[in-house]
Amino acid sequence: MANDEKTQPTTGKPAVAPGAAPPPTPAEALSTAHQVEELGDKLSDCADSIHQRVMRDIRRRQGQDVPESEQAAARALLDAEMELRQRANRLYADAAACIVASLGQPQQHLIQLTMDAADKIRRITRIGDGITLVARLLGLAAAASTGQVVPILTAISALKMQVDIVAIDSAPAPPQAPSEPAASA
Amino acid sequence: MDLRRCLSCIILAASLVLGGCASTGQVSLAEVRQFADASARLGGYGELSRRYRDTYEREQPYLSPAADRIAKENDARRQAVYDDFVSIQKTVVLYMQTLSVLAGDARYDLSDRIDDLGSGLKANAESGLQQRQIAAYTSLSRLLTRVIASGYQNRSVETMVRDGDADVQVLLEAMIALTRLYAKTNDNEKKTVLGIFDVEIPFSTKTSDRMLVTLAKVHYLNKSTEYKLVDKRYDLALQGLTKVAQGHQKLRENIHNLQGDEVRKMLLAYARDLTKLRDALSD
Repeated sequence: MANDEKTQPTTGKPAVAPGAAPPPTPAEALSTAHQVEELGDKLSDCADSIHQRVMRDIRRRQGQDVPESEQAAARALLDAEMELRQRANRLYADAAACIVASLGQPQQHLIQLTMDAADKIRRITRIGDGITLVARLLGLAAAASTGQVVPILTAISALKMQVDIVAIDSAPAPPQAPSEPAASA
Repeated sequence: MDLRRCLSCIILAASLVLGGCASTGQVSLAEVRQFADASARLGGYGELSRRYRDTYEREQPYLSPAADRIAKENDARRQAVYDDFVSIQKTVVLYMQTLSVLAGDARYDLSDRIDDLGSGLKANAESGLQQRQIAAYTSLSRLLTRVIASGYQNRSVETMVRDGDADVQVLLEAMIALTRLYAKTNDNEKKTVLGIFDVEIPFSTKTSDRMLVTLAKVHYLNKSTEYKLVDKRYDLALQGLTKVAQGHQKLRENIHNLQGDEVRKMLLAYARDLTKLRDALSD
């Protein structure tokens, strides 16, 4: 049966690349999966026609009693229909597994991108600190222009605090790279 | 005083220069953020993946022994790849969430610090700086912040969208294909469950079957309503995933033109459609 041949692809890569050839690209996998899916559709269609056929016979009886032999035939057809549906579902499951098997690399790449972005977000926060630092310096300059002690002292302490903040933000930069690897997925 | 005059001159000059920069260089990424947020929150796929995984549980009572044997194997296959289904979605959601943060305002909104600085200066009234100068100073810092941060932010969003688009499209395409397979499997489940009653109810014509037939009809009604509702969800989920894919592609195509009115409107429309689909899915 066609489905039995298709049981193979689930474990490895589908017929496209036998042996240890490179894994299929997502596009290749998708097109293989699509073919498998179409085969599944054909089986589903067959099951549908069996059902229609059975229902047509039943309707022809117009509510009258259906002879035992005909009932048995209808039930046998129903069983066949059911089995076909399961075989179709098998192909759908195979197609799904085939799609999924090709997605490791794109997922890895996207996760890397989000990690890069997280790093950028951290750096943007630091730009903010830098701006405040510049502002504090300007503040000190303004205070100095008055020649009065209290504003100058206030400005100096504000500046010092900002320098500390920048230092704290900047310090852990080197070890932060390996801190959150992709881990899973 | 010399120094003070000099300082106010610098502030004035800088305001003019930066003001000029800011009006052309500043880009609002609010629409990008809304699109990314709506994409990250779109429901449907996860729930339908679970439903797909649990197919056997639901269909088992209706199966013939021969069908049951195949169904059991199918079940094992579905269970085996379920985690992979979920991880695809998680990757896309993570990407969208990060894009949202990257395009977000809150993260870079430095007005707090600047306002704090402004009031600090006001407290230093004795310093002799005049109100006008303080205001200029504050707005200067605000501009400076926006110019530096938004330039950097734009580039970061650009990089992420440009480098991510191909993979995002691949994963979304996979999610769409999987959702379609879920729907087809569900269709076979529905026809298996309802099919028995189609055939058996007309066969049960004896008066002693009456109660059984009544119960069967009620069960049939419940089941067909359930499947009708579920069918709609596959459709909504597919629409949503397609919208996310299209929206991201548009974002990629217009990445250098995000300040354009039309582009912003378009992204907003995508975000709105996605929110609507999400609401429909959570009904």
